[in-house]
Parts: sequence; C-alpha cells; structure tokens
Amino acid sequence: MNMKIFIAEDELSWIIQQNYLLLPIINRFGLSLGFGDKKVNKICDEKGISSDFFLAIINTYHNPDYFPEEALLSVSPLMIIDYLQNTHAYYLEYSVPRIESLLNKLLEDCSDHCTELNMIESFYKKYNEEFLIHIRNEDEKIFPYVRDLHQYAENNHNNQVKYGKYSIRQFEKEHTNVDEKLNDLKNLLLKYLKPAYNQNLCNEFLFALFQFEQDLKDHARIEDKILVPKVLELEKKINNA
Amino acid sequence: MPEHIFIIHPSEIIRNGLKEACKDFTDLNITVLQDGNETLNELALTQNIRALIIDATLPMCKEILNQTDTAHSFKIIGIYYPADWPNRTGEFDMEVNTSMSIDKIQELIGDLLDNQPRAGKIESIGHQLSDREQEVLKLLVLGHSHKEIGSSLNISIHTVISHRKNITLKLGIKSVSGLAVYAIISGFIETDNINPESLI
Ligand SMILES: [Fe+2]
Ligand SMILES: [Fe+2]
Repeated sequence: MNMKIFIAEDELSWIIQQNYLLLPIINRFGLSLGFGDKKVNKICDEKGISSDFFLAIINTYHNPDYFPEEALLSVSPLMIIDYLQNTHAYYLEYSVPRIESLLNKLLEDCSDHCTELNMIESFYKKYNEEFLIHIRNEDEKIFPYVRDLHQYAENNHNNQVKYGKYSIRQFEKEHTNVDEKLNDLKNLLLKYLKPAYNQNLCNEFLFALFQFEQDLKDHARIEDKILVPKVLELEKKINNA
Repeated sequence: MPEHIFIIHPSEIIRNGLKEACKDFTDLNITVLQDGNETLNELALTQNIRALIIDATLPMCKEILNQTDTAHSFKIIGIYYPADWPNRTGEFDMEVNTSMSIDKIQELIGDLLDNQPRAGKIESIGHQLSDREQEVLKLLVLGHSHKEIGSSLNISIHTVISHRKNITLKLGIKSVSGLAVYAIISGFIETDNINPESLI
C-alpha cells in the first residue's frame, strides 16, 4: 500500500482512489461523495471542519505507523468527541449489523459441523455484548462528562459538585478485554474451525472482522492516546481552579 | 528481517563450540539455548529460522520433528554422541556427531545452508498442548479458578498461571470463553452432559 502522507492540497477524490477504506472515515466528518476535484482544505473550509484534524485522522487510519500525537493533542476535545461518537454510530448502524448478517448467512448455509459454528456464534454474541456495553458507557457517561468538563474549564468552574472525585482514569483500562476477544474470534476461525462451511461466506465474514478490527484499533488509539491525556489535562486545570 | 540459527543442546561446551564453529561461515543470528519450555516458546515465536541444530536425544526434538512437516523451509540438524550414532534415519536434514572434527562439521553445515536459501518458521509447534496443559485447559473452561485448579492437580497457583500463559501462547487464544470454544471444537470436553454454550 502507498504510505504517502496526505496533505491539504490533495484532491479528496484522489485520496479515496489511493485508499477506498477511507470512505467511511470521511463520512464521519459529515462529508459524502460528489466533491468533484476539490482539495481537502477547500472542502474542510466549506464544512467548517479543521483540515489539520481531518488530515491527522485519515493519515493515521491510512498508515498504522503514523500517529501525529502533537497535532492531535492540539485539537479541541469537543471535536475529538464528535468524531468518536460518529464512529460509534457507524459501528452500531453499520459494522455490527453487517457482521451479524454475514455470520447468519454462514450459519444458514451450514449442514455439517453446525455445533462448531454455533459455538462461534455464541462466542461472537458474548463479544458483542461486551463491546456494546463499552460503547454505551462511553456515549452515555464518558463523553457527556468530557463535554461538561470542557465547559467548566471555559468558565473556570469546579466540577466537584456534579462529579465528585470521578476521573477519566477509571475508564482508561477497559480496552484490552474487548480487543482480546475479537482477536480470539479471528484465530478460532483461522486456525481451528474445521472448514466444513461455505468458504466464500466465511471469507466475507472474516473480511468484515478484519476491517472492523482495524477500525477499532485506530479508534482505541485515539481514545487512549489523545482523549484520555486531554481530559486529564482538563481535570488538572479544573481542580486547580 | 534477520534470519536465525538455533543451537539447542544441554551441554554448554557443545553449544558454545558449535556457535563458534557456525560463526566462521555465517553472519546469521546465532542463538544458543538449553532445552525446556522457554526454548519451545522462543522457537514458536521466531519467524525467520534458517536452521535448527539440536541434540537428537532430547524429547523436545521428537516433538519438533513431529510437528514440522517434511516440506519445512528450514533445516534441522541432529547432534549425536558417537555412542548413539545412528544409521541415517532420514528424520533430520542432516546428522552430525560430536566426535567429528570442527572442520568437518563446518563443511557439512555450511554446504547444507548454501543449498537452503529460504528461512521459515515452525508452523504449529505450539499447537500441541502437553498433557498437563490439557488438564489445566479443561478445568479452566469448566469454570474453575486458578486456585481450585492448583489444588485439584496438586500444583501451585504460580504453576497454573504459567501453564495458562503457555496455553495462550501456543493457541493464540486469550479469553476463557475463547479457550472454551477451542476446547469444545477440539473435543477436549465431553458435551454429552452439558450445554456447550453455557461455557461461553
Ligand atoms: Fe469508543
Ligand atoms: Fe473505547
């Protein structure tokens, strides 16, 4: 894959031709197709998006070795949260239902060794349950907390009244378990499941898992490396106010 | 990626002698190891193995030979003591014996590696769980705690945890429910009397 770093003067349609997996990412910024030959900076200006943030996100997604920590840390927490929340919506509305329907197709097609596939299904369900709890916790608790915190910081308020001693630190450790299970699921399919299933359907299921996994890794990295440090900084600022 | 030669032998003198001998004709990474679980783990995690030079009498050696198919892309060289010197069995890609001169050993191994440009990895060395590991796996996925497993197998918690680590390393599966799926589809657990899905 081409490991170029995309810049503000690149045409967005050209970027997508380099890596079509970026399509869902640009949607998360409220951008959809039909941008003619407009360049990134123009499109971002029109939509009121920070082109630095936009580029940082698509470049990190495109290139796993690229992570402009400083550029990302200079972005407003509100912008980061919007992006993360749109990503959650994409998972809930698209990724998860898609994975489930591919798994169902695989199960419907099964005529032999079905107990094994049923085990895979149960395992997937368990994984998904944990995943949904994780996402819901962020949407309902963490993100509103960060929004409040941001507002307090702007107004020089103290957050003790509403949140007491709560800190974002309590949420930092949660990613590993969820990642682990997705990886286990992949390995079970790749290494141990007897291939008594429709191969094409299984491949589709796996492709969807791989793509989901990559997306999640990128997502978790932004939460762990950008969101958490930014919030810790806010907490410190407020506690000293 | 760097390529590796592994030398595995219980005798330090032989290990280091072979290492010096190999240094003369190759600049590949040479790692000397004693036998043991750690060694198996290290091998299983190494991607680019050019050659494995190993004491032919080690139990581990059998395991490696059993689990690497004949088309493995690296060479396995068996080391014998003169007393055990076999008729060539064909199990190894080459056999050497400790009474051979260094020159002779260098020549044999050097030629073998020249004809062997490709490095590879031990495909499924991990895949096979030891009997003990299978016992731990079973109890674990049936819902027993580390402590319970320790007392029913008469081993310390520390040992249970180390088995657990090795199981995960070998199988590539970390979560207990993932291990349960593995144990059921591999037939380690009788599912006549339990609902397998209740284990997940
Ligand atoms: Fe998230
Ligand atoms: Fe998260």
